[in-house]
Amino acid sequence: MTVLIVDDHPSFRVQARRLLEEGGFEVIGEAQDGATALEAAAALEPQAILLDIQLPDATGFDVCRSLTAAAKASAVVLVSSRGASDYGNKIFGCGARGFISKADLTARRFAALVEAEA
Amino acid sequence: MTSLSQATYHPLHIGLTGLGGGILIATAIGLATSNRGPFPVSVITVGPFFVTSAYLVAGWVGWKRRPDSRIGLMLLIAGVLYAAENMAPIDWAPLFTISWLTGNFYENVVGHMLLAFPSGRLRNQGERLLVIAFYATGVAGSVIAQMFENPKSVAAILPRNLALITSAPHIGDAINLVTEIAAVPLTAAFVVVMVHHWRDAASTTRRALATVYWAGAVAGGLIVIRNVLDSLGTSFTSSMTWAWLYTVASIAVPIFFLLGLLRLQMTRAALGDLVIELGRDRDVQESLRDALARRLGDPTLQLSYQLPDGSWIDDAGEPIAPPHDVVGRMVRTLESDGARFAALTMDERLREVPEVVDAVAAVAGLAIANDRLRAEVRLQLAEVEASRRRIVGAADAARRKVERDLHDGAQQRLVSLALGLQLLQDHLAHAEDVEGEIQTLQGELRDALAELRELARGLHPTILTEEGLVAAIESLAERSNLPVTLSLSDEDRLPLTIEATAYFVVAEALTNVTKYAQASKISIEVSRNNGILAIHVTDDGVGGARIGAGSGLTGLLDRVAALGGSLRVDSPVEGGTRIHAKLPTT
Repeated sequence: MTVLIVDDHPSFRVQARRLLEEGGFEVIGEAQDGATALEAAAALEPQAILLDIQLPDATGFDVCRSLTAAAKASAVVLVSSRGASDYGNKIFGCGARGFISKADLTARRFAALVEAEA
Repeated sequence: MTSLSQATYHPLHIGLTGLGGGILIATAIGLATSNRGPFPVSVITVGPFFVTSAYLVAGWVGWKRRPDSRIGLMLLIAGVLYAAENMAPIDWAPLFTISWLTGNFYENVVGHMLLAFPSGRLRNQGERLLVIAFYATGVAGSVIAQMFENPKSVAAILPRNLALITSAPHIGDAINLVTEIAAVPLTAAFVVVMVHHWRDAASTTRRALATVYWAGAVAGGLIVIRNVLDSLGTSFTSSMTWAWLYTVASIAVPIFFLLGLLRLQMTRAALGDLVIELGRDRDVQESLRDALARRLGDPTLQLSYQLPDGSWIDDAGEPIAPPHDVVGRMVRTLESDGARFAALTMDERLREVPEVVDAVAAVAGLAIANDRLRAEVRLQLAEVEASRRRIVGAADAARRKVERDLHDGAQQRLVSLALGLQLLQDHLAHAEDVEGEIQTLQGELRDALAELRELARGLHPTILTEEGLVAAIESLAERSNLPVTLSLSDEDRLPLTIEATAYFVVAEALTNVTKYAQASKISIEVSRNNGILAIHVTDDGVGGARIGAGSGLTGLLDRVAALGGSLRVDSPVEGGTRIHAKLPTT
């Protein structure tokens, strides 16, 4: 399954790529902000996107809305170093498949959310 | 002050009063020891004593109360002349002669007073000529006429007229006729001048003038009626009824003059009300100018202020030319420590009541100084309030920054560590001991991350910025160990500082409940009404909470107060705790 990783921290992108690749995912691209993420998603058409909520140019919620608006949308999973309770209902209103706290990220959890019905 | 001290002992007034009193005593002795036996006590013999006394007392009181006015002095003079005129029944020829020579001079003085009221000074040359002419008819009618004839009615029974040069009654009659004819245009001129004075008078003076014109009407009426009755040849003016009427009316004249003076005095007393009125918080609708204009009875009054740079502005703050005297207007400047700071431009006629203007100027000075102080205090208060708001805002911003730094720094590193450990664990899937060790490390790492998150949240909850107050409070309630009942009105977002303060009130209350209250349930109510955000946090615990040193509530109290709100803790022992906060939302 092809994945796009969107996060402004390079160290997290490296770790996440290794985690997901070892879990069987094919990471086909990385983006460090919302605008690049939208371009990359359009160009690469990944099956899944790991999307950080706090991006320098936009919130992950807004980016997620744009990403999931298309007919043939990718499955988006939100991540943040903050907890889900810091965001309340927003997580469930933007079209994402789910949320994982960064420290809890594993390929298995990611796969479970991606495969879940939106 | 100077005029008052001058007023205490003035030889002229004491002399006149003494003279008037002396004449009265002499007359009394004369009446009692007359060659023809003591005069019977009747209104004719006793009345003049009362009239004279009324003039002397009114003169004395009027002069004491209004030392700057000559009316008091003139009343004393009129009293002496009245006493002198009424020495007529005395047998001794020189006194008798003086008495007849003084004739009705006191009436001339009364006329003079009518025109000179309230200052006792005539206003212009025309008035002076008029008064001189009036005195001239008095002199002609009394002095000159007496040189040529004896007083008719009493000539037979009274002593010799020493002023008689030659007995030529036709000359005396002619002079009397001339003065009587002259009286008609003179009276008309008097009325014209009085009407003029009335029209020109400031309202404060007008009230006093009204009283005095009553005196004029009474005195003038007496003269006219007497002259008419005499010319009709009736004997009514010799009757007891006339004597009574004449005495009572004559007493009324000085009393009216005194009342007129005192009414001016009362105008001054009314200034006391002005002081009180201006001292109070004036109705915002009524400016200081309006209050002064109303009190002075001058709707045209202007109040202008001089700025430190020397320029002038009016009551509304518009720049104006420096105020100066123009025709019909007078300027009174207000000074403090020798520096001019304001000016009153008012009707020139207010010059007639200098002490009123003085008092108003003093009062206005006080009120303006007061207004300035108040404005200054208001400005300082506004500055302090603004600075408190800025401090709260700055503290919030600082907390948000620390929260972001924690998030971007330590938290990210820990996240990396956790993920690194996760990878390591995946790689070492078959080495049991190492995997156990890594799991322990991961657990500790997660705890560290959770604590860090909690710390960051305490500094500034992201959900508050992201989702607003309602979501943030819901999130607080979710994390609480106790069941929480929520009643939150979900409306538009408020300024961050207000939301943060409300949030911290709830958070602090929940922390206190968890730590100390031993409660079983909590209810949180947040509502908005009329620009006020009201927060109520209630628990059923042991109570006894209070705002005090070291309590987190004290910091909250300051925060709430800085935003112009209020915080109340209602916490009877064993009665649960209710925390009420109110925050203005604008």
